[in-house]
Amino acid sequence: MADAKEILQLGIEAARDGNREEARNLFALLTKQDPTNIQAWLWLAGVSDNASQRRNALERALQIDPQNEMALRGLRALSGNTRSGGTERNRSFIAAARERTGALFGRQATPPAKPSRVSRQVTEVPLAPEDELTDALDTFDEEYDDEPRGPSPLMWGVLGAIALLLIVFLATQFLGGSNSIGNFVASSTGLSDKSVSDATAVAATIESIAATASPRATMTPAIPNTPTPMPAMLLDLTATLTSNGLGYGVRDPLVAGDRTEKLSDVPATGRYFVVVVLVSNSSGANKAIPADFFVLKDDQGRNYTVNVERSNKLVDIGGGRGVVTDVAAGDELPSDSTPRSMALIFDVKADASNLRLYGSGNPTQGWQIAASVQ
Amino acid sequence: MTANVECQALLRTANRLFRFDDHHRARALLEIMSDVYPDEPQVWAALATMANDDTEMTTFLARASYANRLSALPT
Repeated sequence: MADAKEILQLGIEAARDGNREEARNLFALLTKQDPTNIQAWLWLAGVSDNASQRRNALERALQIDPQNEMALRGLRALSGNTRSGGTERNRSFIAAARERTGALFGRQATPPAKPSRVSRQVTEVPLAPEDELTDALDTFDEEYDDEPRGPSPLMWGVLGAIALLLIVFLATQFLGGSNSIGNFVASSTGLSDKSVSDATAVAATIESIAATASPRATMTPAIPNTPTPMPAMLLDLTATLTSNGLGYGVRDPLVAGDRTEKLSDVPATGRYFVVVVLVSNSSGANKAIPADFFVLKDDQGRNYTVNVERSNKLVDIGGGRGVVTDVAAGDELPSDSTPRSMALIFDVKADASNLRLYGSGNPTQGWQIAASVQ
Repeated sequence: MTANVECQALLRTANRLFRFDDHHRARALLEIMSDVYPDEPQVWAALATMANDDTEMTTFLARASYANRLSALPT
């Protein structure tokens, strides 16, 4: 139960930070684990993204506690909610929620002295800073207006037009065509001759100013003679890569810290670090993953390769292949495209930070494994 | 499918907690996830990364391997 309270608090923090989807997932998880967790149901109602989900959550809360005042008022507000009158009703719901959370956190509620069952139940579980639940409900209330969110279609149109004009302007500058801006304006807008003439004049003025301000040659981006190495891209931990018919990926988050107890017969120079990967072979021939296939890199510029002997030792300690992991490092993989788990052990320096895992021949795509080895 | 999406999102949350050194809550979240998603190998594998000792890690990895085999079975 202590775990559940911590995760409830985590969800509350997510809701407070505006991460409603994460909060929703956390509260939903708690309700799946313990369907009688009334706090989780109430919070889930607070961050639900539609009335149906909210109604369901409030009804489940009422099944647990038929006298639960917040759930009752929430349902009353929901059942009376319409586009025209919903906001007013929701305000009364939120007022009720505030009243309840006032009791929840020991404040003097207005009006005071709500039913003893409610205040007793709530004061037993002071879960969050005051008014956070009502803030979540406030947010939900705003969404009840059913007003469209984000920029309007007209705004998108205006932004699109501005972006298009900017692109064309830059393109014409690079192409260097005479009066190109004016030509574009004329061709794309269908203005009258006079308007076109005015636009052309303006364009010519702009171009002359630009030419005065800086030589046209500077409009051509300087290309260095030395190739710039492609920056490394960190992948989502669920992503997989392929190299020479070998597929590989990382199981998220898949970092085991210091596990030297059973491997202490050969002490690490730094710290043993375990990363479990998924590998598959679809090359058409059975083959093993080369020992130097996986590389772990840190921010200190060091590269670590797999300690095959230690990796195999870990598998042996755990009971052999198929128990701890499907295969050991260095095992030959049948060419059947089946993903198999493989534990890799790296001997990592204790001060290593920002550890990333890369596969052979692909130094530009990898996975961030851990911030440190602590 | 929806459950899987939620599970993946929660794994990302656990991963974020882990990376920010909030190991305690990362593990608490994963333990609850293992109750709710016992057939999800990634949950067990993630738990293995936060094991308190080798016995626990071996148990979690064994569960991950078992769940992985289950998920590979034709449906």
